[in-house]
Amino acid sequence: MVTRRDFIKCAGGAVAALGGVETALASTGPHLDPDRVGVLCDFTLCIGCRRCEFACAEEAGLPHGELRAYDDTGVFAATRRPDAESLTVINRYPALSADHKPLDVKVNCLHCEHPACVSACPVTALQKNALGPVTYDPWRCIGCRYCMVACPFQIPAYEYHDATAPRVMKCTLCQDRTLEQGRPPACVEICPQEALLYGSRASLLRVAKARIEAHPDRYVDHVYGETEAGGTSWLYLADRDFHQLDLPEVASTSPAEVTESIQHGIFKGFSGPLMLAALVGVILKSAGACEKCEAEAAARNEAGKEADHE
Amino acid sequence: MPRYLAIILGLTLLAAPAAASDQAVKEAHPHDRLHGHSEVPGAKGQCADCHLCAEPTAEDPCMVSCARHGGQFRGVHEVAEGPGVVVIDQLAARYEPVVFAHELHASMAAMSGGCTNCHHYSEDSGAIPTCRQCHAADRSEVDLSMPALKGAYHRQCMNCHLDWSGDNSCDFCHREAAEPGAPVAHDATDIVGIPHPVIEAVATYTYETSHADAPVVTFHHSDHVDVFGQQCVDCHRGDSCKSCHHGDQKPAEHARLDHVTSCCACHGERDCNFCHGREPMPRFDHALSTGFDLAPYHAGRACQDCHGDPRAFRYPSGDCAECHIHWEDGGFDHGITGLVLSADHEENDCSDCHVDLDFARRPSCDDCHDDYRFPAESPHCEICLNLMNEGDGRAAAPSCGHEVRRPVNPGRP
Amino acid sequence: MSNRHAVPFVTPGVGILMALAAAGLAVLAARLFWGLGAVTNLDNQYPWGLWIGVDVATGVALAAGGFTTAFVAHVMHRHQYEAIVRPALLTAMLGYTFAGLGVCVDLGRYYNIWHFFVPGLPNGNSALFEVGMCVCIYLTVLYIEFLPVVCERFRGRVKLPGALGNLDGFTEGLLRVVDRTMDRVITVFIVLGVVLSCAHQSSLGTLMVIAPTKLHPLWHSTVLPLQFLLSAFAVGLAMAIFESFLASRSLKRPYEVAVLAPLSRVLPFLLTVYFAAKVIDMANRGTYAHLAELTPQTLSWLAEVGIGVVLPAALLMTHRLRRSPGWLFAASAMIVGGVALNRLNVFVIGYKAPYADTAYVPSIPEILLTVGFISLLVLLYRAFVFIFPVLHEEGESHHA
Repeated sequence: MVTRRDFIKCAGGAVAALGGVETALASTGPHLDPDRVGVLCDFTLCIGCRRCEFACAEEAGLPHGELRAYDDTGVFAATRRPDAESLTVINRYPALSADHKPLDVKVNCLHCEHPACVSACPVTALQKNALGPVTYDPWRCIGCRYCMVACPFQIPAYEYHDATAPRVMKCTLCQDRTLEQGRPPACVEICPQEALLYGSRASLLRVAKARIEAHPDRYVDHVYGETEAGGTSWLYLADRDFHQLDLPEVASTSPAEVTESIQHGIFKGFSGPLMLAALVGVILKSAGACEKCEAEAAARNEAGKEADHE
Repeated sequence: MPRYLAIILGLTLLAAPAAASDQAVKEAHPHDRLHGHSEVPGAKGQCADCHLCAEPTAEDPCMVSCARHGGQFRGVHEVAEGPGVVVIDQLAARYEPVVFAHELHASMAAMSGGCTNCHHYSEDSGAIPTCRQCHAADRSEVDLSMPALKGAYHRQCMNCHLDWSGDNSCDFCHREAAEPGAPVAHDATDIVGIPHPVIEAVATYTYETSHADAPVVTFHHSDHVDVFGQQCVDCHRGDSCKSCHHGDQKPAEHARLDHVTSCCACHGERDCNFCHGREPMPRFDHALSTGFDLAPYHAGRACQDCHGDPRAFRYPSGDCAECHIHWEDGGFDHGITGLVLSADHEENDCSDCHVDLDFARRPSCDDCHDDYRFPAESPHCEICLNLMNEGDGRAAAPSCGHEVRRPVNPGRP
Repeated sequence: MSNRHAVPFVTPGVGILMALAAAGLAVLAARLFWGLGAVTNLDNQYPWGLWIGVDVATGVALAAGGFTTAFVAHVMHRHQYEAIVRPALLTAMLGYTFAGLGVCVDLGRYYNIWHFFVPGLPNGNSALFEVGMCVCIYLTVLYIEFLPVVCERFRGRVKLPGALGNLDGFTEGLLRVVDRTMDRVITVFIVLGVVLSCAHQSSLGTLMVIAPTKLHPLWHSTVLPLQFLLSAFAVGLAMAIFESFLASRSLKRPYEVAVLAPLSRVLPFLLTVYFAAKVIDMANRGTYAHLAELTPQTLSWLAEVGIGVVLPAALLMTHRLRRSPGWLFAASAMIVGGVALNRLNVFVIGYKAPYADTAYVPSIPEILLTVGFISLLVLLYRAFVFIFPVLHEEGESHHA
């Protein structure tokens, strides 16, 4: 029996299907699974052992030294950024006071909910997987590096010295492990402190807020990544304002939203170009007609003059 | 709460099925603590998950012990009760098993927060569960809000180790499994069974303060430890390794407490003069301070025996029976005082002789007896003579009120 | 090479251009063999540099003459301006060709450029895809629009060398068919060219809208696409005037002031609209506050707007100055320079890399390649002008 509710659902579905093309064009972000994963990174728990750097390089097949080479804390003297050979780095920031410990901050791709890099990529080499990771397919990539321009966190790096097949290098949340094997990313797995927590983004957000509530003296009341750039899969907890940790203050909407709305506003159903073409056509016709009547008038004048002569 | 009770009552009256009532309780639970507790390992969604008794009330919710909401065992274990060394091998993949010098750490913990420094959860009975009883080795088996075993271990260790030395290098505890030339098992002989060195505390600390009227504060540390039976934990609970250890440097002197906070935790009710004075104060003397001489019968007692928990100090009323409850029924053997009561006196009430139950004052015979004609075979003479022979004789002489005639030694003619 | 001009093809200036072009091609070879890292100063902080800012963004902007002159002469039927349509068309054709080449040099995986055309690969959300797609189609349109010139040059004069001589008749027939078809459909391509140009000129501005935290607030705006389009209108005509002067001078032809001066009347209007779009947006966002800071960006903005927009608009409002070849050339050069500086500002100078220790300065090879490509473009332009009837023949008029 078809109930009223079923009918409404059915009708709604039909309308949605009709509007499907429009919706696809006007969507304000990628389709996301409610159970999409993320990582909660609690800087206050990080001890700066740099095991994640090692595990990441090992997993990504990038050059890396022996495990114990990562014990070197001398690297903390300078603030580092991820590059083509290290997709994640730990930076150390001085303790707030003598009673505090220094804060170690892990830097890597935050896997935005609505990634600017994905929106920017002309050939869908970067994609937002519905389950969370922003994945990269080097085969599709043309190497335009627009993703690097677009990223509000300045994360993607590039293999500038590869002449033939350079890749954009960034954390892909170990896409092979997380998406295909259901295992946590390498950095999460190796973290001795469990400063990195892998799970569904929704539950991680709950855990993060519970920690802040339980230890208001230990954390600033801010989960970085909850709303930044429209939300990110990685969530950060810290003991101080995040801009002091070189994490940018970005708007709570994705930068991709603005450009996509411009693009869609102009090119939705090719309405913009078609209207422009029509306008040009009208000008062409009317100017042509005008020219024609002017020419006829001139010809009449000429004829009149000639007639006068005769 | 009333709503909760009303629903319970109503449902009980209606003899509703138990399952339905449980459901209703959940919906109408007075506090939102159920939130997040559905993921507690082992929870079945029943009242008994959290409440020990069948009918918890607001006054007595009879909660089970829970690491997160307090209710742990607050007593103290002896260092020697724990293991000397713990071998941690549940997570050995990249590394060899870690040999953890438990005794060393326990003896350090005894000087600060006690066992609960690390064992943040313990049963009311005082039993201490192992880490892995709650923290599973497999992350996926653990509620996200609780660290898995690896995180639990490392957070316990690194929290202090970073405080202590700032050193985060893994090889302080770990040895890489495949490290060439490394011994098969961690050589732990250097740390097994070596407790933390005993810290020699100064018997009495005298502090100079800026108060003009009473600049001197005297703190008899040894009294607190030896006489009052305080544990290190009682005052040093908030201390961390860093209180004593700064990097690799050995502590120059015993760390000083924030004495205002620590002293006031127990002596908060006292007026200033209790601690502050013009001169250093003498050690505590029970007889001088309270008028109740502990010698000879109470000298061996601990303060708590009469005064209860130091944090809830109690003043005895002076009624012996308050402690000596079995004396109520005449169960007191007066002979223990050296005076065996004769049959004539055995029926007397204590207050008949000890006026106003003032046991400090020795009763005198003439308090009751106007004449001093004792029966010929009176035991008094014997008693008095015994006392005189044993002691200096002064005490007995006035108490009887008559001249004592030293009896002829029966053995001599 | 047949010479339809009074000067020889090779002059000392051409020699210098050839040397520069050769140097640029050497850098190109180095880039192909050793990669971008070896020849550029680009890094993870500055992913785009001189090549995108000048070769591509500026190149596309300055090639806007192709559609603006076509619009004026063919859509608005102002046939008196047809003299400058073909040179502008040639500029656009070569400009877009080199912009495309510039992109390919900058692309790490240039050999994957065909991914733009494979269904399933392109990303409709990407402004860069839209730019790339429009540029590719427009480049084709430009080549088609140039076909009548080729036909005019060779119709009735086909004489293929050697054995290919047998195909002379066929080629002649083909040219005739093409010429006749083009006569009928050229209008469609002109309209298509205008639409495509408007689309990608504006989308070039959209490119940087996605980086609100990186592009200096003096330039970053959601109306950047509109500003890019309006400036393209102005610079298209200015570039047509500018290059007409250069070509006349180089080929020792009289200046076409009689055609250029009336055309320049519209420039103050276009510049005022562009200026208004910039200033109203600036007031709207309150970014004028940044002008008080004395930074290279501020100076660059002032130069771009002051010398590139306000001054030439003021100059060209005077009838006398419009009729003066010197002033007209100077004013059009200012507009060209101003828009070029604007594109450089948006893509390079105004780009603040959030974690950069040192600012990006193009490397010598980067500059050499850019200069080399421009030299090559000028050389090709000269060659085309020598071979094809591009420039207005004295005393005769092109057919429409």
